[in-house]
Amino acid sequence: MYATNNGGTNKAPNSNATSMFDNTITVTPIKMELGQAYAKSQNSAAMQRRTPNAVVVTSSSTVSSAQQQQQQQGQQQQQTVPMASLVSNACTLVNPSMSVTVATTVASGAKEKTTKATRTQVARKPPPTIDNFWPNIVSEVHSIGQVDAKHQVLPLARIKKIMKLDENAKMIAGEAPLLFAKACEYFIQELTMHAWVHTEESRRRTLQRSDIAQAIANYDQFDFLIDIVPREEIKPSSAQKTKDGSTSSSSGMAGAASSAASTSNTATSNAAASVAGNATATGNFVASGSTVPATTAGGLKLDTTGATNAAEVLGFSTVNSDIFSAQLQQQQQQQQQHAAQQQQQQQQQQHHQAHPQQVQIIQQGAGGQQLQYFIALPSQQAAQLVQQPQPAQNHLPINILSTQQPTQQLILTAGPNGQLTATPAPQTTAQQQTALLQNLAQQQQQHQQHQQQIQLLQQVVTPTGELTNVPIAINASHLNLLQRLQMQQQQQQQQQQQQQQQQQQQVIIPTQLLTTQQLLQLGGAPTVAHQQQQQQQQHANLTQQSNASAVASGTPIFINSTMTGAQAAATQAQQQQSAQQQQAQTISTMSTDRTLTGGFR
Amino acid sequence: MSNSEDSQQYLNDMLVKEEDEASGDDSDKQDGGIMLREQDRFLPICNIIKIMKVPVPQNGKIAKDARECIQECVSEFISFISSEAIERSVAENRKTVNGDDLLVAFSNLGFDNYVEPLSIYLQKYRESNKSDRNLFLDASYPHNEDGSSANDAGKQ
Repeated sequence: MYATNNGGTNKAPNSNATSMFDNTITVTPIKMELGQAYAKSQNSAAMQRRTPNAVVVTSSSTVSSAQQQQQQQGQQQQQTVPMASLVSNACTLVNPSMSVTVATTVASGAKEKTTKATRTQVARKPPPTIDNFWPNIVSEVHSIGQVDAKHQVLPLARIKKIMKLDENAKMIAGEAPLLFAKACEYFIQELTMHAWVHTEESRRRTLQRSDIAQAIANYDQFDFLIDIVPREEIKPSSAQKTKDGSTSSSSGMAGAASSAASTSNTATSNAAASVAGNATATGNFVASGSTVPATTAGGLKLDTTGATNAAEVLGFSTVNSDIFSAQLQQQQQQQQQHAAQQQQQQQQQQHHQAHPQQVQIIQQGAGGQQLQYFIALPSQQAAQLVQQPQPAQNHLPINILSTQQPTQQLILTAGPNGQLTATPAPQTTAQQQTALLQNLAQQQQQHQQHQQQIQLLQQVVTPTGELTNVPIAINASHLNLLQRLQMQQQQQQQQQQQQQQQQQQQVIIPTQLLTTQQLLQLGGAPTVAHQQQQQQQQHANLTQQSNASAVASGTPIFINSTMTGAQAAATQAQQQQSAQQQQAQTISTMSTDRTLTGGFR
Repeated sequence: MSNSEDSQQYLNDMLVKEEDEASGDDSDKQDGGIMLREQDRFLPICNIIKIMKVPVPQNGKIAKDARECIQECVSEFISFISSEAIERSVAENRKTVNGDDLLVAFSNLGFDNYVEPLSIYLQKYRESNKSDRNLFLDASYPHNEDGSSANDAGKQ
């Protein structure tokens, strides 16, 4: 008798937990000891014994005694068994109508010759796709009978060690590593599957580290792995080769948005060429002899007709790799686009046959990642800018300025926010240079406005009594306001100083005429001492003003302290000195008035 | 203390010991707080290659640097999820991280499609664990026809 085992090597005998994609079905002979009652009976009933890992199949047809004797002599009988009865309940069928031919033997006694295990390789099930991955996982988990903790694909002790690397992990339940083992299994399969997509895109058969890096970059769920696989390792996928005379179908993979142009009738004089542009990091612009709707990566179409037969390939790099994301196009939409493009081509051929045009793309670097493209159209008509229908997620805002003017040159400029602006280019080279300089100046101003931020530190007293510096972010507008305020304060201070100087001059000039005796009679000091006192007073006034302004602008700091006797005496002495200075100043002013009037003479 | 209670406690201790061995507590005791070696920080490469071959076609190959990269990624994945689960258990004043903490961590960190199959898997594991315990206890206590155990009959 024969049983099937679905290729599991280290599975527990009581578990039918198989890997989701075990596809090899091995048919091995099982020796059954038949009792005497079964051997004597003429009619053998159909008997099926089902174990978790195997299905034993016996013949259900009635066998004559002569045939039984032949079987006991060791002859083999060929028997066709349907495939569905050979597969255990944990394995899914690719084609249930397949049948496997197996040889059945019935053992009689110990002298039976056992045949070799005939292993029939069934065609391997295709690997899972991204769409049906998780449904297959769920169905596989549902089909599990019993979970055997001791026979896992990944070692539980090692998983627990990795979990214990966290300092806060004190105790870990037995089910946690078991759950992690299954989760890691799914994680490895999913990450490998996403990486294999990029391997197939680059037409390789070996999965490399760069494919894993690209899968991590393109799938948001793997963002936590960016530190392990940095973005520098991501290689730009190679551009797809163009094929003349056939429509290029978009691959539908993430990261490559290939736009296909339909072919026109070959019976006409103009032969058509298909354009396939790859919008990751480099693009190919192919201009052939016929009408070619060349779709750039951003979605701008330039419908032109050319009279030349040879195709001109102009390579250019895109403005920002992050701007142009992948566009997945369905087959139905492609067919509709092909039909619409064919109609457009026929109309444009009739319309533009009298005015052949050539497309010339001039790439000029404008600093950083921003590039400008001059699209020069030598004929009289301007290029038609057609907005390609895009999905809402990948919508790219394009500002088209003054497209109604019949200009012959257009400038595509990429702004800081990823916006493409198409502006008419001036005719002369000098005007072109000035326009370029103006664009550069505007972009630099925008960058400066975005980036110019100055941090100021303000001292704040915390409740505990500590001084802390709090950073204050100030924009350019706030900075201008502060500068204006500072200028106003400086002007006010200068005005005050000028007024004080004028007052001092009015006081000082007449005192020089007085003699020392007159000053002594008046009770005043000599002129030099008087000037020194006035200077000291000016200095005190200035310091008082500066202190007042500092207190008004900054945060005042109050320190509670008890004054000692010496400090109190010092303050009293200062007060007396200030009073004497005020008296001397009043006396000096009186003396000047009297000298002017001449009362003492 | 009666014999039945002694045997009951002994059996419970044995069960706990078996669970600890299954989850790998002995290996943790060997570490003794010492830093793990480089190869102990990652899962075995041969096991990872086995799993990686599932989604890759038969004619496809896997480079060595890709294997090592996946090995690092899996360890980071375990650390990433377990740190979130440990935070949850600490927030609830529990010392032990269990399967429910992991499921909540998967959900919180954006791995929603992992939650459904893993919750089914955890439920089946708990059911099988219960049935194994019941079988073990039934085998260790031979019952008489009247329903009383052999130890009770001996006492009488």
